[in-house]
Amino acid sequence: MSPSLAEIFRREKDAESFRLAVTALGGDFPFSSADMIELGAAYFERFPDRARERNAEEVLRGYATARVAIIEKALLAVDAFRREAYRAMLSDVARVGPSIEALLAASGPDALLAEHDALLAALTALKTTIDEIPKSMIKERFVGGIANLFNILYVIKMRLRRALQEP
Amino acid sequence: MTDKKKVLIIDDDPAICESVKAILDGSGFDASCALSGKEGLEAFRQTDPDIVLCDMMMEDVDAGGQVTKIMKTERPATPVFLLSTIGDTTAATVGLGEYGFSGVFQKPVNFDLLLAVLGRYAK
Repeated sequence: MSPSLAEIFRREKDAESFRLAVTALGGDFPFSSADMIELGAAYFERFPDRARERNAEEVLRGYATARVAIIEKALLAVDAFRREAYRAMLSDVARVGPSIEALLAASGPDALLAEHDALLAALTALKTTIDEIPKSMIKERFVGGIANLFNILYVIKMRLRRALQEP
Repeated sequence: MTDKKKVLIIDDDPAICESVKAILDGSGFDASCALSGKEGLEAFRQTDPDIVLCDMMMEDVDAGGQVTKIMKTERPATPVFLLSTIGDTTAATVGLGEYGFSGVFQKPVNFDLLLAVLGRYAK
């Protein structure tokens, strides 16, 4: 049985080692709303929130922490050999252009559109789980974290639509 | 000269700014980003955007609201939309109308809807 994300967060010394540890699990970790709350509690133990004079760096680190876990769960909807490309795109919108070009050359737009839809469904299911978290700063970090993944997925869809329209 | 409508995105999350900018640029707008309320106000004064999309919680919990109040005082006709993680219930109780927002888009943003709304303002 995999350790919980909260246990991993408490064990790892920084954001990058947490990301690597979570990525190594390949999405095989419990991720209910209770698990999200537990991870959030571990996060705020280390980085207490201040509503006034917010520390933007800590807020962004919170979004990034949530995103690492959300991405790995969502990627279970994608063919294993394309996960690294999607992981790169979902982590940085600037990677969408070159990565989509490479994926299109290898797989064509129809397959990628189907994969986009599967990824969107996975993210939507994760958002439903996040919605179960009571209103709190923990919920805010998860909503802030997942929001950009929907944005990037929209950018991917725009690219795919354009590819379908091209002769 | 470009006749693209200028959209200023004010959000302290660079990842959100860049992804929203990519969507707007790819949809025929000329988008730019500011990463704090203070930076957003400076960009608003310098670039005179046609539309503003503004986050609420930045350097302060209501920084977006305070900046919007100033922008709406200086240029009342410029539409300013809130992009925020606050829920509909919260939006109804914290007095968003007092800040002068033209509308609210909850994150995760429904971009089909946002682009349709911006398209109406862009005419």
